[in-house]
Amino acid sequence: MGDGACTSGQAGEEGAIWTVPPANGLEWREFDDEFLVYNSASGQTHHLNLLAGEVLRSLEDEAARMHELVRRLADQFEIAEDSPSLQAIDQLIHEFDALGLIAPLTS
Amino acid sequence: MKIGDLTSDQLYQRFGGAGLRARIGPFVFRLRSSIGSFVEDFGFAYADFPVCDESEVSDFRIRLVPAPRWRPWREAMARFCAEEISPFETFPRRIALPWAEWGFNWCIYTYAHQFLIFHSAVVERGGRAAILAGPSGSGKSTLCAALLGRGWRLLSDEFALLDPEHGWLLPIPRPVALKDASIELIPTLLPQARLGPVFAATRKGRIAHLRPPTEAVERQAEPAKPAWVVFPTHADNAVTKLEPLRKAAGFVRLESNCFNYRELGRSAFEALGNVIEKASCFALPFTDVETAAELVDGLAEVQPAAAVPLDAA
Repeated sequence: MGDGACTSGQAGEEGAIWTVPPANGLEWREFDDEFLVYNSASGQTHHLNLLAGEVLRSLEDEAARMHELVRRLADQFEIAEDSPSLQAIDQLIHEFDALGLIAPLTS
Repeated sequence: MKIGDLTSDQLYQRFGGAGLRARIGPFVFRLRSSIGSFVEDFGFAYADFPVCDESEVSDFRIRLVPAPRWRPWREAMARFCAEEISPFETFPRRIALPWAEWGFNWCIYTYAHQFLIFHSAVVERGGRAAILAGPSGSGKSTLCAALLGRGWRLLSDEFALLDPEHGWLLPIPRPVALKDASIELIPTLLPQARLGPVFAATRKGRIAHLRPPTEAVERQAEPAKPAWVVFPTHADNAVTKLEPLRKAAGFVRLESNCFNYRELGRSAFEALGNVIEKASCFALPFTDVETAAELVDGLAEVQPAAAVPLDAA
């Protein structure tokens, strides 16, 4: 299982576009609003709650900047963009980056 | 022919010559040793296992050999060798069988990566298996033995061997290693128990091996589908109860009891996910093993076997 780690310098950058690197080849299992995701690149399996799982799935579907991601999730869950649960996305992005699940797109 | 059909002389000849080839679950072990007490102890514990003929290729070639004792007053020592590898330090010959059992375990979890291997006992009823997963000391062997007394079939005391492609659990019904107080307790729950000698002062305390039921060995080619995943935890002051677990939690706990999850990578994730998807998961803290066995027994009654398809994959 993967565990939390440090954050990268780029993670907090407002303008970064986040994506799931194709090499990760994520495999998913969903059980009762919880997710298990296998990262082929690291060989690690991660246990995610509903919000974390949906954030990662959203970035796997399409790369996004932080504010775009918040808007997507707000639409999906039909809640306000400034609702408390979406405040956690910034931290999630940091953790996913540290775990190698996502990376900033480089031009 | 079974190992128990060999005369004492024939048994010694095989161990001393080209080796005794025995089919133990999905594996063929070839065993050689000149240590008399080990040959006797093994012959009792594995009496019902079939002897293989010379044409069968052995998966593991094992030798238990005398080792130097260094000082004349020290007790006689032995060494476990798999091919040319000795994974352990030397050990007293009087406890060669427990060390051989740990050596067999080492061979399986080190080399048998055609299976996803969990640290677990496995019992079966009506074609459906209960995986009793947990580390040493969790009480899984005691619970396993108690369930044998309630008519469950022994698939394994030590490992769940999961065929990752088809989802079957393959039996490997080796002797059940009972420790300390369980040695006296289990015969009261399993009157037909056939216990071997008690080995004192091993690295895991006092150990005796419960000879596997004859039927379990005769049916060692019959796999079963996992229906329940139970995590027993023995404690002196636990409230004995079967607590349903969320499936994701069951996945994480079972993965933590897997020997070769990383080696099998993506196929391990898929196979484990398939198990959890179809199985019900429970935590089972317990003090009294009889009550714990009754609770596990109840699972098979609540979900009758006829309700579950037994189709081969």
